[in-house]
Amino acid sequence: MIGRKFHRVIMASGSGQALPSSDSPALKFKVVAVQGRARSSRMTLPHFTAHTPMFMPVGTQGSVKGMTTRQLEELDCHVILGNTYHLENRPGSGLVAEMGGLHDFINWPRGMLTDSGGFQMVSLLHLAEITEEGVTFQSPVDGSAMLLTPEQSIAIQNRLGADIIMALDDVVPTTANNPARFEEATHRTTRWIDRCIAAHSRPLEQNLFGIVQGGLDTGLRDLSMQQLVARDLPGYAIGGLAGGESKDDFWRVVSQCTAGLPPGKPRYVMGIGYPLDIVVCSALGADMFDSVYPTRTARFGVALVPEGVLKLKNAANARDFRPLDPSCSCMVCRRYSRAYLHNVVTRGISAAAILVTYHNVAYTQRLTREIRTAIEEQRFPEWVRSFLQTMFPKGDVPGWVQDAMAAADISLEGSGSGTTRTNPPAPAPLPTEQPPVLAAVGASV
Amino acid sequence: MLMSLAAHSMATAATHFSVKARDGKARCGILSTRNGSVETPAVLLYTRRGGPLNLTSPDMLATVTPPVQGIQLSVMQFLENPDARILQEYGQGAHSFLCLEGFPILASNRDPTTYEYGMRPSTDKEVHVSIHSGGHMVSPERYMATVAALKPDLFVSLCDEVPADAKAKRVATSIKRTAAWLDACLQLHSTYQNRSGQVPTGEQEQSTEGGREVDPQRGGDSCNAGSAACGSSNADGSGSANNGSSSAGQGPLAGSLLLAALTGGGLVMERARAAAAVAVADKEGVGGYALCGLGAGEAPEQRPALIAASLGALSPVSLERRPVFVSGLSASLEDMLTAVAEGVDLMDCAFVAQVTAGGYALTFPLRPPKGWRPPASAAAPQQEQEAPPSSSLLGLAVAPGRGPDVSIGADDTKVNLWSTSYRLDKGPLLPGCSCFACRRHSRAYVHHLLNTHEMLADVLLEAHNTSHINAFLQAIREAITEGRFEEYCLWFRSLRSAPLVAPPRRSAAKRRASGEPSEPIESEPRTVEETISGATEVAGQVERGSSGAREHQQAKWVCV
Repeated sequence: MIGRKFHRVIMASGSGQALPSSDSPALKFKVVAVQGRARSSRMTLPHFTAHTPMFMPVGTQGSVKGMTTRQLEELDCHVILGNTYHLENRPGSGLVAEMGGLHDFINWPRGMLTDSGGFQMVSLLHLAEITEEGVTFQSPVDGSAMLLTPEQSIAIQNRLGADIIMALDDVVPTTANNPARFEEATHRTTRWIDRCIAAHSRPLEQNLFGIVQGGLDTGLRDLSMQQLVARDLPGYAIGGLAGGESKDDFWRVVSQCTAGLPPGKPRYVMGIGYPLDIVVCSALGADMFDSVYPTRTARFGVALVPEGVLKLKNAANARDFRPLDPSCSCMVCRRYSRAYLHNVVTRGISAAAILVTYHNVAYTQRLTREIRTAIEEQRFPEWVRSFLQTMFPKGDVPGWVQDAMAAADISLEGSGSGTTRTNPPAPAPLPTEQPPVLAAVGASV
Repeated sequence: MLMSLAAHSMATAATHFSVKARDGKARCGILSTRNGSVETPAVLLYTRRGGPLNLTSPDMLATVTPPVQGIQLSVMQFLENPDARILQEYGQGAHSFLCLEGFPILASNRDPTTYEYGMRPSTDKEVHVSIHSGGHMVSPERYMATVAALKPDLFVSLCDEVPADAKAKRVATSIKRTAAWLDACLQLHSTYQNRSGQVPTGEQEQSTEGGREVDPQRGGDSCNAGSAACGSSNADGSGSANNGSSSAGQGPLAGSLLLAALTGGGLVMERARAAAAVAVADKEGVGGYALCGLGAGEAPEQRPALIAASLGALSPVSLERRPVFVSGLSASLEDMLTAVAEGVDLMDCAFVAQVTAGGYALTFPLRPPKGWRPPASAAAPQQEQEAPPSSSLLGLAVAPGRGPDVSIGADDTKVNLWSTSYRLDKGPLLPGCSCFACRRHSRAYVHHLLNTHEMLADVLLEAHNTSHINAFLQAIREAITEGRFEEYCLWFRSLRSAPLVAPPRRSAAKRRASGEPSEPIESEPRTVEETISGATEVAGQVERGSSGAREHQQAKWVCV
């Protein structure tokens, strides 16, 4: 029914069978280790070979809020994002092309990904409307009517020159209570992917990823996946999440999609930045994440730490001479104290905001590095338990996380969790001999 | 007797200064501290609440070339959040707390980018300052407790700052207070040099003698591998070990140099009187001098006389081993040259912060071309310059022989990256510059970052501007060492147009009588379109000259 190629996923240890991989014109994806549904992989892009699961910091307007490209390299970021809507506004994709493309313009030698611009328009602009033609909106410059079509989005992204470009999709917020709209959006996204493919003028240098839509409807999600996979794209994104949906709905959609997408191709969950979400999605078989959260929250004085978040402006930090995260080895944690940062963060001194941003980026890179290493060393479930124990020392792991880990076939026994639940129990996990793709709750085979 | 004791303690103090070369009143020296040396004259990096505005330490600070030699911070910004007690609890001083290990730190009484004094009246006992958390009354005790908690390499004594237009009576009061506060600071300095640990504050109940040892655990948590000050709160032990006290030279300010505040407002006679008082007493413990009350509203042309009045009252022997620091005199490059010409060794730096905030990159040439000679008539500002033939000289921002393009907001010293003319400019901020920004990024990128209000714009501009200012001071030191500083100043001033002051207005009747245009040249900025068509027109008008020969004045508008 789904009509996809079926790759049998094998545990990395012991078996001689090949791990999933794919070879697209501008992208090679190679899973190097698997444990349960999680996988550690290498993604060779025109500019760089990235290691996944990976978190991609967002450089909205051509810079990751105050950080230099050299700092991003030192922190071992592999791929960063640019936002098409903002960059087309200023400085304009034509100018970027004249400058030799986004890589040269900002002097970033590694991987780059641009989004389609559609999401920003819908979320940022007044009177943005989606029609079959494209996204109509009011120009922020002079209020005149404008239209972003799939063709134009691809043309802009072709000029920007990122390694990965995103198809323009018809994205409906998951909180919309309109099944007909979701159905329309699912089909339209498919029609638009064909227009994007046709418009894509640099298929040997840039990878066009499709975006799975369908809201919270499992049938629509399956349909969307089926239609995208039939186009044999280099990679797939799971879109339409990171809106207002419940965490319970969120993980189930991710789980269904990672189960339904081809294992040999990268899976990108858009808009994910909370460390807990990154861990859950990685456990369910996702490979790529992006969000402004780590860099944005830094500017509000919030540091990411293993226990959760550290709110630097809290008075308790005024006399706390410990580093932000004693287990972190980044420059900021080796040299600065909470007491110092407490006074200067959010006070209009850029260097202070940059220090916290630096740590937060370091934190997300370290997080995903640990995930990859744990999978490669076949101790990922143990790592997950330890992660959750640190974040929920009282054992109060949220119900949705417990359910998701069960679906990911990761036991939380011994991590102290399971004593409190916030949700009704999920169905019992399926036995492990079954191919993981069938373990996804709600998948129709 | 007093003199030799002073000289003796000077020799054994951890921080000391010596002059290596002179040219007129200008001098090159070396200031040695426990935390590194400074080749003077030098500009100190500006910090706000202990940190650079945009450059993160240590990584971005390390990219500055020529390197940052020293740091200036304002004691007043550590009266609250954090205050002396928190710093003392931390125990390891500003170098470690602020991640500024390896840099000499000068703790001054002023932030050169703001003016903290005069919001409310001061008293004989306390000075009033306005800082980030509001107004504070600061006594010598409170001031020195904060200084001791910071453990800087040099610090300025508490000063009753007055603006340049303060009346004689107010100035006299400030001199009296500052002298009394100097005595108090000297006494407290001595106390803090000879005691280990506890910093007495007004609020503490504990007896101040003996004091509680700083708990190494509390400070130790933040003790990191890379920290030079780590491991011992008494690492600074070398100080004045010659005076036989049991915990001699182990205190938080052992080895720190006290810079006596020289005040006197904008009145030459008062400045001389105030300085003479310090010199005549030749107080033991005065390790240097701090020129206060400048950059406080006085006219630029008054500054040389004001500085000379203060320093001239000091004996050459006094100045020989004592560095001179001036605060607030860094709003322009000419200010810095003036200060150096009068014998100043250390300056704080508002200039870099201000040009960076305006979106400018400094582009002025640093060295005269080979064979440059001052023109016969020293008052000719329109000297045509040869293109610098040597590749070691940094290029001019514009072709030689032409003025800067005022229509895009440039002037003789800097370019304005907001200008749309840089949209497609792939070149560096300044061709030939080897700073972080110029090696790695283009003008087009910086322009884009400014347009989109990205923090990185300021980071890159500050990296470049700090590098360029340091290179400027390096060129100045070379000129002094090679005995051609006066020529250097003449050359530098010849590059500049007249200051941005409208020429003195003659009455309309007199103007008509001498046939001048009836309206004086405008000096307000115009829109870009008007500018492009109008700039050449204005320049042409003035060059043709009005009869009545004000040939040395060229009023023109520029964005600053």
